[in-house]
Amino acid sequence: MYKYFPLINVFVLMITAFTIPIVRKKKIARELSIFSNAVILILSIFILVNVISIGDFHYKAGYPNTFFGIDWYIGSIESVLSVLFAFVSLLIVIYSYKSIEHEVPNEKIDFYYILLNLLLASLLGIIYTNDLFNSYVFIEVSTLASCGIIVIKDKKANIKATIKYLIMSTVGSGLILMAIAYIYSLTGHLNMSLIHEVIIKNYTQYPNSVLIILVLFTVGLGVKSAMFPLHGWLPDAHSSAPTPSSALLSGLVIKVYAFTLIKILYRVFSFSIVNETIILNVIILLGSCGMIFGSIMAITQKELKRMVAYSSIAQMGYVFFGIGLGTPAGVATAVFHIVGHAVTKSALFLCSGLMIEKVGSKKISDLKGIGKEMPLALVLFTLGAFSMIGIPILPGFISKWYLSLACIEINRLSLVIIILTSSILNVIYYFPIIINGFFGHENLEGKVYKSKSVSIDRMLPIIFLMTAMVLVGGFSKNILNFISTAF
Amino acid sequence: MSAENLLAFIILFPSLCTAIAYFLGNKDEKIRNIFLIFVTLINFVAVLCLFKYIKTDTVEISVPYIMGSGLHLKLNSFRYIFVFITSFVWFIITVYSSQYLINYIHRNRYYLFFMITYVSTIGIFISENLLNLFTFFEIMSFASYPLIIHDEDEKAHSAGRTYIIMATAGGLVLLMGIFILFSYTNTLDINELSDILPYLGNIKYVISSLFIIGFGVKAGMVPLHIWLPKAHPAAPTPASAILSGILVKTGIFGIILTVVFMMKCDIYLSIFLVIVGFLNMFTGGFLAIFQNNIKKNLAYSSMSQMGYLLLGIGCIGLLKDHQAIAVYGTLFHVFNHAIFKVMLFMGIGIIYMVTHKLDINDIQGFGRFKPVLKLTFFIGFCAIIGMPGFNGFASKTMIHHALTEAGHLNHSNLAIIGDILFYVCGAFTTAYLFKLYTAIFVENNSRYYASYKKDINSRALFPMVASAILIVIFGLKPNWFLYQFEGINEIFNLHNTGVFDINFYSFSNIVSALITIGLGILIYVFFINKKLITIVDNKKVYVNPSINWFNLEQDLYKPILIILFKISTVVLHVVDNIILTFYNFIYTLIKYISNIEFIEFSSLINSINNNKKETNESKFDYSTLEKNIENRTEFIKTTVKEDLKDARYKMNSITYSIFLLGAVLVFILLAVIIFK
Repeated sequence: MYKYFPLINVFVLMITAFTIPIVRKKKIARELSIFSNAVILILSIFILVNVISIGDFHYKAGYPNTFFGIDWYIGSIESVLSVLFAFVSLLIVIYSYKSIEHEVPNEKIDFYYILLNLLLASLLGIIYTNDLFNSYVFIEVSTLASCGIIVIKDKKANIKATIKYLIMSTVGSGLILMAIAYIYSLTGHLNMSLIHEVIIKNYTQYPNSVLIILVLFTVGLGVKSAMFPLHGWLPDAHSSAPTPSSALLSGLVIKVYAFTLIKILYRVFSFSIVNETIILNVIILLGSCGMIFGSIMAITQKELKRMVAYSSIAQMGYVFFGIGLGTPAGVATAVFHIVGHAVTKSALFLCSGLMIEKVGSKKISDLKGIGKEMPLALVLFTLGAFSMIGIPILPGFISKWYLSLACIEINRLSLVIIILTSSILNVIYYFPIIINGFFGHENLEGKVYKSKSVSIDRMLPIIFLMTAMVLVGGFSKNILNFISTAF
Repeated sequence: MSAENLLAFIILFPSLCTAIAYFLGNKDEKIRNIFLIFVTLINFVAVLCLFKYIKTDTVEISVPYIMGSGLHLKLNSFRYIFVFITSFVWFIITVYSSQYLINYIHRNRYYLFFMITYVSTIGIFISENLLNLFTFFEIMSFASYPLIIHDEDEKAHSAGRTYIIMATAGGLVLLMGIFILFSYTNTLDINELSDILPYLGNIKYVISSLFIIGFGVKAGMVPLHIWLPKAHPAAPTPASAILSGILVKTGIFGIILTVVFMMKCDIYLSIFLVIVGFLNMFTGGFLAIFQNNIKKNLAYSSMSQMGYLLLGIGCIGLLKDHQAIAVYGTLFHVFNHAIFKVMLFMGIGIIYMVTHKLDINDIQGFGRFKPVLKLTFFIGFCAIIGMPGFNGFASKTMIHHALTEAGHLNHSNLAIIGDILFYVCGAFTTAYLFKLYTAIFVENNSRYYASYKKDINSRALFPMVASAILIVIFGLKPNWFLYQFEGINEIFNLHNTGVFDINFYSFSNIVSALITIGLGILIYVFFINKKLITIVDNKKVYVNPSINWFNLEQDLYKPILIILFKISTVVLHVVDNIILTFYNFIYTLIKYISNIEFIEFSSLINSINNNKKETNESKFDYSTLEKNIENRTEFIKTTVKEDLKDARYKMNSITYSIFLLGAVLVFILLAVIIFK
């Protein structure tokens, strides 16, 4: 029975997405969305439990092992990510229940929930699928849906950002499609496992083709997951979008493409093939640049959400850094960083959204003394920032720690310096907000304690996310061990 | 109840009752007092019941997966001595406290921490795992802090500050030792460590020194003793009594574990301990002579007695195969010291209860007509100076024998010096207590003729009488006591068991004890009487010249700390300034570069084109261009900063993003294919 759960997941989301316009009532639309997300979370937990107890499994539809067959593969990483995505998305939808009127025009709210459900459905599809073309279709759906949840705010900045995102993403999709076509012409398969079997035998015959395929995938997926010089669309899109969308985009959407890259590098190809090429060095170079320059650009930002968005670029740098190490330990840590960062960054975006909404200004300079007016929100923000900086126990520290260990394992000590530098840079842009928010008498004068705090039910999703973050840090050993079983 | 259950009982039962007592105390203090007396009594009885199990055997409990590396408790006859005195002393002090504390505030807080200290002290003595021991050790350190500062006046806080700094620092040093130890041995079980640690090479001395420093702080080892004479006078008397009687023993216990068990009686550490032991005996005894504050006098006395114990431990190491006498002597002295020192403190407490004074000049002649107090105090006095017939005599004789034998065994010429020092320190003990005794009980003072019955009742006197009886019993029958603990033979691997047949009351032993006492009386007559007592208005006034002497805390440690602090401030200041200057330099450099003006290229072209139009010549005229450059009028100027801003804006635009994407794609493709 559990073999059908992945399919049910995607279908539940899609069906609710298309029932919402029939209902056309905002309240019911929201409740449907929350309900469907909750169902997904429960089913995902079932999947995870099954994978832990029984092992990974395939779900095959259509004509298995042929061109038309669709093959879904659920292993340890897929099950973990599925629970993670369902959990984060459920909390974001619950958060939006009370907050979405502030940012999205009234008549578009039901449309917003259609897009949210579609987006999650496509993200889960990308995670589950073991078929290249299938994943391309889901990637396209997810791109369009994410464009939708950015532009829904209907402001000038949003439209501009969305067009940029759309064009960049489409170019990326084109590259991916090209790569898929190339790989199909080489192997005659679209199923990842089958391609793997063929390629492992024959790759020495087409050395250049393999390289080109790898580059096309890396750049194509890199655009979508904001790999360093291709990140141009991200700050605009993530900062102008409504808060729940930003959380979803920064927390989940960009991660899923990095995971697809992992699948292609290490499942379609393999550690040995990839390690023979220079592509990993390029990925590590771009990842490191992202870690450093993302942080530097975050330092120069004057708007809170833009800063948090640039911080996402830096954090994606860590993921690419881990992928680029080319060892099971490095890749497992990259996946762990995806998990840790997803909960942290979505919570940070929700926090900053609340603060911006209450203060009425996006500027960091206007947030001075916010700690007195919204103590709980800033405490939660601080906790998230601590994870980003790398305070022990929190997941940010743990991924940095294991990344460093992975570097030492392959005798590339110089890379540890990059991790340390990036940590210091993180301190430079997160700490001023916290310190100016909590301390400094001149900031706090004239501010009334808790005058801007919001009701606890709006804070609850953030509190849950932060709790999840601490738990991810606390159980990091178990999670990492479970993830490592995939390699 | 089985032995294991009893062992768990003696630590779990009081900890549970501590919580109950705290809530009871909020309701009714009287019930709480009675409840706690019964709790400590039951625990004492439980400890007594354990005796039959440990006489020949060992009781162990091991619970894996808790407290980090698992909980491992163990009780054998060696540990039993410590557990026994702890439970006994706590019982009598609880009885005593119920009377003593009547006029105090915050009694509930006092009892809470009093009991926590009790539980953690027992925990220390029965931990087999070093991490458990450390945990209980730290709980005890922190729980005894509120006892010391109980009065919350200036003096108490100053003493508390010194105590907590020393205790925390000692704890951290100990923890450091445990860390290093664990990284080398991968085990924390004391029993297993004894097979590993002695073969580790020179790192074992680092580890054991850290351990000895950490435990030495608690044991009042010179020069780490500075908290001891401050904390004892500041704390309420029951707290002073347990500090002096039991808590300092935790340090001794730790040092025995380190040197005798874990290091297998390493020779260098043993020599070190003998030296430190003599230093302690001498400094403690010498300084005690000068003290006028009776509690301070006893505090220095404790220090001196700890010296005997350290000396005994050192002798265990020096004696190699004949160590039985040193082992039994040390452990017997641990037992004896706890009992007589607690008793002396209780006697002082009774005086304090009536007079609220601690200075010897104020309470002169207090006890002249108070027979019970006088008698019990006299018994304590005889015990501590080693008068034949009292328990101190037996244990001091044994340590003295051990020292003499160690000298013989090692054919050392230093033995004679050690012998002389031993006599001198014994004489100091006699002298300072004789001073105390004559001042309080012999002098005549009409102020204190009245009976103290209205202030003192049997609850305060009973504990004193009980311990006095114990002192006399063990003084008269020391062999019987030693025989009870023959299980120690096996634990310490002793071969020579002749120790049970020692004839304590032989002529030579009695003579040497009397020589010591005689020397002490000579010191009293010729030094204290002459130098420390002046007659003012027909009254004796004791003076204390040592107050203005060199004070280790004020004159050495504090200046060193202050100097260190100042030096590090200066160094850090310099480093800070270097970083700041460097930062400023980079900042100004970047600013300078970003503000450099230059001519925009397009305006240069424009100017050339204009030039061409004006002159209508196809040939380019350089001279006008030069002129224009000199004038700098027609060109649009721009700075690096503006250019960068421009570039950033352009980079952010869609067109450039696509260009960038293409460039990256081409770059990666080329890189991959060229460097493959």
